[in-house]
Amino acid sequence: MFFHKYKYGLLQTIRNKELTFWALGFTIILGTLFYAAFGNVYENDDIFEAIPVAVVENVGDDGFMQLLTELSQGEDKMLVVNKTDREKAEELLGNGDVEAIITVDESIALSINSTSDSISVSIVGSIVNEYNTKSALFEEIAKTNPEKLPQAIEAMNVNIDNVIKEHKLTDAPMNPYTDYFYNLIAMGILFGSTFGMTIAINSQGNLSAIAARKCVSPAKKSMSAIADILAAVTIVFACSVITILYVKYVLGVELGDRLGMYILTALFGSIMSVSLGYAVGSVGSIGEKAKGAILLTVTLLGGFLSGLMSHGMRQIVESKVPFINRVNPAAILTDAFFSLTVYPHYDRYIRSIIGMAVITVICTVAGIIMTRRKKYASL
Amino acid sequence: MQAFNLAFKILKKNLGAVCMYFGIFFTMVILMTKFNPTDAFTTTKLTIAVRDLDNTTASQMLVEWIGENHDVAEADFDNEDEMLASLYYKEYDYAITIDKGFSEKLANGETDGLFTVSTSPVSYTTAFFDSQLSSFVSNVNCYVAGGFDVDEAVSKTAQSVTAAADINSLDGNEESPDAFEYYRFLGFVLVVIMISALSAVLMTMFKKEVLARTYCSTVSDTKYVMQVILACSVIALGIWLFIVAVSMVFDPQTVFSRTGVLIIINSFVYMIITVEISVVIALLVKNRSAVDMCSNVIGLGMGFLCGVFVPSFMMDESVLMVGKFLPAFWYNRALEIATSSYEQIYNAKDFATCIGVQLLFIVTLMAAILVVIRSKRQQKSL
Repeated sequence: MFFHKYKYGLLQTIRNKELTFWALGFTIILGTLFYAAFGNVYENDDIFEAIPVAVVENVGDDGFMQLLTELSQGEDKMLVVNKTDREKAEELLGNGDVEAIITVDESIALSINSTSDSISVSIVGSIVNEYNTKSALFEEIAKTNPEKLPQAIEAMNVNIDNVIKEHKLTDAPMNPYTDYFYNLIAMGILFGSTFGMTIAINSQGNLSAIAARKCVSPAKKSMSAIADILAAVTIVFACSVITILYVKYVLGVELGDRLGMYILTALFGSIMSVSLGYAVGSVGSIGEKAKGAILLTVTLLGGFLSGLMSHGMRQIVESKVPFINRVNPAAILTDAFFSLTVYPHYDRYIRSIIGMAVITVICTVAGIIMTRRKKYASL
Repeated sequence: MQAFNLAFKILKKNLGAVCMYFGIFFTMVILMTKFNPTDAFTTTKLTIAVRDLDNTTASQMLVEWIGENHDVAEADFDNEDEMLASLYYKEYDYAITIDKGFSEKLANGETDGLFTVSTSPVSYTTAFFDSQLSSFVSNVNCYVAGGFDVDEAVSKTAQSVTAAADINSLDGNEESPDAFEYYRFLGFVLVVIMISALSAVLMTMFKKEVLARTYCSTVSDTKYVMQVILACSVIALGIWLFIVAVSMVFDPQTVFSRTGVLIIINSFVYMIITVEISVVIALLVKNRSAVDMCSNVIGLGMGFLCGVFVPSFMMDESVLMVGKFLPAFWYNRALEIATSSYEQIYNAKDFATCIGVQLLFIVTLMAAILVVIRSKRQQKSL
């Protein structure tokens, strides 16, 4: 009997095309759109590439030209130098082929336009500034301690490549835009809460015709509910696994190398999501629309607070009101995916799993208490 | 005008969704214009977390210098998990520890291992601060070699490195007007608002049962259709005029200028396209929840593929190629040209081309509407 109920629970859930669209179709479409929009932003905008500049040398300055040559050579080069005349340089700047024009006159000046990238110009500005300040520095030493000038010039050539020791915090990919995909997977899983809500409504005789028929049938109510819940969890879990595989293998988003743990998290998330929907669906005699609105608020407002619409929102909430991140299902799920990708250990991940378990237990117990032993005098 | 009035009664019932989209629109615009940095050039300020383990006069002066040139963030250097999250979410760009012996090493002319840093992999921000830090150390080293004591050397370097390079802008380096951001998001919002408002009205008005009852009434077929068209035109124009009126308050300087006229013409043409899209959906889709699906997919699709949510210059060429087949791309391009934003410079011919392509979309969609209506009538007659 249980498997019979489970089988029809599965069929009933799959045939709810609208809910399946939001849990799977919409998630995949939105994921594709995220990828189209953010897929290359990190590589194009964040990862450093040598900055193209045009150099117009009106007055000979061997020292500066030598500095530019050094900076535009080797694997770690900072600049791509294009020596040219003023007219051509302005054309290159206008076309966006260079970020700035360095004009070497009595002093060295930078020209930019409104399309120049601020941080690239700041880097070039810092190089020019460094050269200008060095000249002033040697003039000052020549005035105050002329006998020390040779040592000062020698000090300029000291290798300063090892000034900084890097302390790497992780070897994991640090693309911040991946956070949108963690949120997307979480959103898809939480859309599954609507399945749980439908199960609860379809088990209350005063709320739906199907439930009224179920009430008069000889099948045990608890067995029927468990079979329906398991069927819903199966579908939500299947949708989330498809989404994860689509994001990882079709879109090629770097989700780290713990795919098994991702899938396990999706399973815990699916159970939490369906139990959340079941609890909301079991609340009193509120109409289906109102219950749907509550779940949509939990999913979308929760998604907003965990960074689905605005990157870094979860971290802002963490610094201001961390309690919200501990109880927001979207934030808990997103944080679990984030921890799996970025941290080498499981400390933070375990916190998320505990959070999911607590929500699941509370929602399931609440759902059972609200729906058990209900009898209807008339339907 | 029974049918005309009925359309507004139906709209009233769906006003919640329309208001919600207006709320999303105004929130997005305010966030983008008021809290986002402008396009105009200013020397970049990073957010840096600093820990001073040396705690000498020289190291304190360095911390002060960092604070003058960048924003200093608080960080718990002993909690690496938290630091990693902060770097990932760009709460700060760079975490630097001034190691013990900093001052002593500099006094002896040593430069190795003065700092320990944690940051994102080779990014522009890392390159920027690395270069500033190296420059700082190099200058201090030269001063020390030139006979100055280390504190004096750090103090002099802090003063000299702070001085900005001579930077001038060839085109005035103007930032994009606020009206640009306002009308940019219209590429997404106008289509979802129109679909929510008009598709619901049209679906109800052209329901089989409603039409059958209307045919039995004294209102003629032509009159009914004309009243529906009039009602939809009034609704669409009302929504558009409201948006334009708010933009006049939002950025009057731009809207009441030549740029403003171009922006308004562009938005009017785009509004017609969105009305036609709503009609197509109302004709093809059977229930209200499917309308919500369509409005979300079409709205978000055009938003992400046509440079509404992410500026087009940051997007991949292949994605923009797909975007060219959607009207929002040409709306957005015309807007960029009119406001000379995002690597576009005003050119009347280019602007006219974008408007022309949008007019072609209007003709194509109109043809599609007529084809769908014709095929539906044929199905009914069968």
